[in-house]
Amino acid sequence: MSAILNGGIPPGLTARGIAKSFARPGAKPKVDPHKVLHEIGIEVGPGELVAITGPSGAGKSTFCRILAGLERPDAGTVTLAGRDLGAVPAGQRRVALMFESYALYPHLTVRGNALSPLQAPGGRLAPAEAQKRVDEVLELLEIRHLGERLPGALSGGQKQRVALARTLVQVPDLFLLDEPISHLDAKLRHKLRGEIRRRLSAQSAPSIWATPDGMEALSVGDRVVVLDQGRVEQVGTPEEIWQRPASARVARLLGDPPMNLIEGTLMRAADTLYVTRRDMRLALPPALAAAAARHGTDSIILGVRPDGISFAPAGAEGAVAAEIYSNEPFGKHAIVTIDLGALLAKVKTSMAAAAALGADGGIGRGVGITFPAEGLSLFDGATGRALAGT
Amino acid sequence: MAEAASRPEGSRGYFWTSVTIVYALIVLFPIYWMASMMVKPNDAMFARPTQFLFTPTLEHFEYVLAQGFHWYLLTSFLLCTVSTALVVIIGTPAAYAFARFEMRAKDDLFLFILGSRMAPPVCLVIPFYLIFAKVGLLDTFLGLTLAYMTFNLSFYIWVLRSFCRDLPVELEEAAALEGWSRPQIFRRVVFPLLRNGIVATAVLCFIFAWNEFLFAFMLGGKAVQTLPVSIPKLITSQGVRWGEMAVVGMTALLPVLAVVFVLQRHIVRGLTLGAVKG
Repeated sequence: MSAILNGGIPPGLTARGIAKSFARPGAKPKVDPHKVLHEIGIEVGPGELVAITGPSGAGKSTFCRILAGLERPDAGTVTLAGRDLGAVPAGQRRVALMFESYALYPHLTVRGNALSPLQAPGGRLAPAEAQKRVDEVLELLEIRHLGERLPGALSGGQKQRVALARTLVQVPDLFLLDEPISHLDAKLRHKLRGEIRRRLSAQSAPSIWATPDGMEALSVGDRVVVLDQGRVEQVGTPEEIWQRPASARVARLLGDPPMNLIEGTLMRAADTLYVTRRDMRLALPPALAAAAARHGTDSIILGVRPDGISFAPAGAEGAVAAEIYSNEPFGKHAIVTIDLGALLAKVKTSMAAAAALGADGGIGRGVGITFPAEGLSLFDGATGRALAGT
Repeated sequence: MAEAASRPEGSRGYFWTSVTIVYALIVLFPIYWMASMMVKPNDAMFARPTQFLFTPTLEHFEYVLAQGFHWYLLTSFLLCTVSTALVVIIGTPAAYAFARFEMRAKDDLFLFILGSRMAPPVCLVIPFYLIFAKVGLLDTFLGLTLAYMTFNLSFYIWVLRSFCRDLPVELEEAAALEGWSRPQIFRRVVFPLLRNGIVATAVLCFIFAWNEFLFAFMLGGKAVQTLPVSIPKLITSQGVRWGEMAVVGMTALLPVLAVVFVLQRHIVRGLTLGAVKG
């Protein structure tokens, strides 16, 4: 990004072409290795927070470990704050990594754990200063009262916050948070997501926040990187990723519930392009139809967000026939699962609309659904790449 | 909660308790018998019917001290302490290295180390004797220390390696990332978590060395005599001195008993629990 301004060496983090494979269990290394990362490149500017998301096994943790220097990449370069980290051992990289597994020192108290990086030769602070900073972070994470406890006496969420505290007290050149809030209860997660984001953004160091939760990634990241099976699927701002997911794999990660993906075939009749699947036939809006026609593929995946689908009486004009599979009222909205014939789709609708489906949620009843003209996405049926979206 | 649930209830509980008590009495009876022999006058030793009541005497203690058996005790104690200390100093880094580092022929090397423990001691004592005779270590304290260290080292490395393996490597990675050097990580993280394992294993090594007879008998000669080796001296031309034997035997047994209590306390693991989630 800012590479041009600084004589080719960006001040933040730049990783280029990072590749990594592991030997499969029981197999000889080098023969049929398991490729975890394929040429991953990423740039994070100073003070920027990039969220990395992807399903488990996407390579998020491995990528973080490579940046931290705990794992040696097969190929690729990492530069941080103008330094090439290729030959720099983990201890001298000035990277604060929060482990997904916490990695708390079991023989040190909560306070001892949080103080540890500030007592280390690299980040040593005057004891009073260190205590002050630890107090402040423990206070922020609501675990100051646990200061003298040993990790063994803490709950999972408390341990996670201790690990978080140990990371946040540092002033490193790079923050790496591997699933930092995944084991907290919902209330605390909401509070800390904002607090941590605020704290990280105030620092000049770049930060990386890895999470399997796509919505969490959208909410914390200045930019979001979507990884899938060791490949970068998409990089962009949260808006870009939300509005125009680059592939069906990205779409599947985002939303609560995520986007419905309906595999179908393109069919032309008269001047209109239709997506057909079994006895469902849906006319594409002109913009989508043009993109689909340009691409010239028949096998297609139609993406539609759960809040885009609305109910119509069964057999109504232009409605697609479906059967109600389950009906979950959440209070402020309801999630209705419908069966489109060997395919379940989720519909997010109002409580009133869900109640109108009938007694017992109308489970088993036939119903019609209509798709919106806007907010549809099309993906290539073979590759999953996005063709168009509105 | 789980503990309470697994405790046998009612009459079944009493039954198993009494079985345990009876078993304990059977096991402990020889120890009681030895203890009573320590203070039994010679004429009551083999009286028929058995005399459970007698006037206690200290004559066996006097004889044992007069014969200088306390020096054998000291020899035993020094020998076991020094050899166990050497085992801990040499074996701890070795066990750690075997658990953590990739090295060529690691498994072969490890088996080789174990081999010295698997072979029957009788097979090893002859080469030991020949080598020690050549290099002048026969009948020396140093020679016997080295011999004990050798056969305990393999056991120590073997046991401590599994303790090392149980340590989550991420703790060391976390410390490394904070900027601690390798020796500092060993001192700050690895050693405190291994301490229980080290104590428990070292105590076992100490007991093995303490009970050892064959090597001490063959390699120590007249110059270095340990407590177990000294006991046959009490089979004299005037007969077997049973009371004295009981005194020496009891002296040899007490440290082992004491050490078992210490072991119990330290073998309780759980310090590493809670380090890593799950």
